[in-house]
Amino acid sequence: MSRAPEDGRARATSPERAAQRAPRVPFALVVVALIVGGMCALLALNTASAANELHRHDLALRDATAALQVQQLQNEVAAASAPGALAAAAAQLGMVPATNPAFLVIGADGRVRVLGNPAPAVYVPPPPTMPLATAPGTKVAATTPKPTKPAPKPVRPTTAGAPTSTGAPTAARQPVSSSTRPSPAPAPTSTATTTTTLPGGPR
Amino acid sequence: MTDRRTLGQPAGPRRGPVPQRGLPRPAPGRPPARRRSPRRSRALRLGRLHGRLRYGFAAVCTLLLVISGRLVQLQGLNHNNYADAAAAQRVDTIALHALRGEIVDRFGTVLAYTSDAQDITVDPAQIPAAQRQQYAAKLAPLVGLAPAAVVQVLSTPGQYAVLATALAPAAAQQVSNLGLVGIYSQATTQRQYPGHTTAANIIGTVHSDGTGAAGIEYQFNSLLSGKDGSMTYTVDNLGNVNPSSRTVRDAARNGAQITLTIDQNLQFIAQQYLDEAVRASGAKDAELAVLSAHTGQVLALASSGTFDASNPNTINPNVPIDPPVMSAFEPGSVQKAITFSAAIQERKITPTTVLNVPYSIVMGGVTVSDAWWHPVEKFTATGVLAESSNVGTLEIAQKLGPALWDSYEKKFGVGQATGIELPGESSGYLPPLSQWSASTFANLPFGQGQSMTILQLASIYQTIANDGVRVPPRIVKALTLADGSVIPTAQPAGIDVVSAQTARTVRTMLESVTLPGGTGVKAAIPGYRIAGKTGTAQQPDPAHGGRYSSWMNWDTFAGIAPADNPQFVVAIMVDNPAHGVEGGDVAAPLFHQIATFELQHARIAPTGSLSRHVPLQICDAVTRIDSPSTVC
Repeated sequence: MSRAPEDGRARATSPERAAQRAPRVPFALVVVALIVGGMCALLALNTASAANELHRHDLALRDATAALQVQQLQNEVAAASAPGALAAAAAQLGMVPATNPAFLVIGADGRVRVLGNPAPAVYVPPPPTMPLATAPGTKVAATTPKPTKPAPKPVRPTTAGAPTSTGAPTAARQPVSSSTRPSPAPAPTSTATTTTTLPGGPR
Repeated sequence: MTDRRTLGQPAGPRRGPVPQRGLPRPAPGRPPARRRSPRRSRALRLGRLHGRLRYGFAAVCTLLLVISGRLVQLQGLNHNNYADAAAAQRVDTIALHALRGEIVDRFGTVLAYTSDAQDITVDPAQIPAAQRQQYAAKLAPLVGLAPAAVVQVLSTPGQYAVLATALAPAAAQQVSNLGLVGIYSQATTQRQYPGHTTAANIIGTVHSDGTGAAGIEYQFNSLLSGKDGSMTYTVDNLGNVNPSSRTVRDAARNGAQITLTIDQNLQFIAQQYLDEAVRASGAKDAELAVLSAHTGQVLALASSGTFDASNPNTINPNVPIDPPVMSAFEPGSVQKAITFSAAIQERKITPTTVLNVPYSIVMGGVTVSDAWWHPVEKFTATGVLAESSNVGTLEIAQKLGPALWDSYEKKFGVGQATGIELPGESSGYLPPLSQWSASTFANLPFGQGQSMTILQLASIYQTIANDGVRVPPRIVKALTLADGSVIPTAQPAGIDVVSAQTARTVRTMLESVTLPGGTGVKAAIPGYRIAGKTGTAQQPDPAHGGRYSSWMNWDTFAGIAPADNPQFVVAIMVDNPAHGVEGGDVAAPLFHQIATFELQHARIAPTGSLSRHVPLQICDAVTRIDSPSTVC
């Protein structure tokens, strides 16, 4: 019972003393510094985020522009590499379609045989291309120059005797099919042979 | 604590007189109210305290029950309505459009694809009438319209008008760079056909909403279009995307790529030559089919006057959109190949069998004659084919008999659709054996009285080229799904029609057609052995009650190149040429042109072998001198 009053007094006085001794200013400074620092950090983060967003927007715009450009170029390549455009471009350069090539066949005895009739490709007016909206070269096809340089004349060996080279005329006694020149009118006279009750014309 | 209590007053306020034992009762003279009130307050206090707690507890419990009941109702039973209402305000869903698949040819060259484009729209109300001319001057070159047409659009009453549809991205960018008020653009897609008319009959075209309207685009629409996806994200009250929210993305599945078996270059060349031939011969139109000899794959399927796939206005509504599979015609003598194949397979003839062939023959009550007058000649079977004698062909058909002949027609696929992957295929027509009249068999063996598409005709020659095995033609080589997996189209099972030996023999006989003395010399290609057959079929003339016309023809040619090592077959039909009335005059030169191109394009070298000579007829001394060496 003798220590109880002392204990009571000590308990009562120590918090007061601690409160008096604790330095309030540094604590406040720390808190203020934390708040200010936090705000600054937040500001910096927000600014960086906004700047990044602007940069992203800018890049996205460039990306979209580039994608459009790629697509545009792809369209142009596809249009230019279509056969119609290629044919027109080739004709513009004076190129002509190749005709039948000739082939050299070397026999077992070393003798050379020619298959086909070697001849330079000749210019024929190109078949009409359907007008292509995207091919500016189509118009030029009509004014294509003839090839200036004829193909080199191949050496014709003496043993030229290919039976398949069929430059020979049609059988002379075929009255209808032998005419190479087309009749100018839908002439019914040319089928005068078909006089029977059933179709007898087809050959 | 007890000691402290003894010192002072009892703790707590005194609520009334405390009854104390031993104290005298109040005097009787006091008012009764004062006497009763302490007694009443005491009973009330105890009773009511107990009651309040009980009733209060019950009330609270009831309220809680009601609240939790409502909670269960809202959260558990019909939470969807409220969640949906909330979501509708803060969640936005947009469709992610699947990209329509490409169509490519056998080498991967793109025939049809989809690209981004912009529609240019106008709000005419925002554009003062005085400025329309200025607007038009700036816009006209970019949208490809005349300035007057632009002014007309700008003058449209209302707040919406379309100035240009599916403008290329670059042009649309230029329009937006002008910064004109009242001009808007909206994203769209456009189906591109870089080849325009090339293979348009096969590819078809699309409707303005992007769905397939014809051809492969129509047939494979669901595969090509893929499956649209969606993206769901949260937005704020202004509709801006909330960047930190979770985005639910159901990716769009793009359409499959379809690889066709056709060769774009061959197709283009074929269309050009057909257009040219139609113009030169004054024909109505022309059709062609090129098949790979051993696989039956379609290399080209063309007709003259094909529309431009990127401009549906060029489609002629009066003609089929894809004549090579949709329109059937009477083949004429090209069909004799079936009669001869059957006769050789059944050992009724050999290439050198000699037949006495008069100019005309009476069969089934009708007279059938040859196309040119001749006395009774001793033709070989090869000669009958090479000279295309109808009478000789009927003599051979009579050796077969109708039933046997009909069974070979069916095996060659006449009158049956090929099953090609194109819409609207015609199956042609072969009269059923049971419905034949007496004169029917005087007609059919040389290709009149039956009809077929150019594709079916090519398939007949593919059979002969492929040693007697008919492989039904197909035009889709493979499908490439969006995930990259490739599904090749299975080659249909071959149908054994004739033996390999028969097919080789028939090819040799068909070679004589393109050799001097034959009807198809214009089809010959120097250096190569070419097997083929001409045909000239008479057309029914509507002006004469559907009787066969004497001047309207279907000119045909079908051929195999090279005959000694078949790589491809070409079938050609020219409809009613005004000049050059036989298949050998119009169709055979077309075969020559197209086969020449394909032989070089496909790098097919001649084998170097020579055609075997088979006499076409038994010649007398005069004929022997007059005719080419190959005849006798």
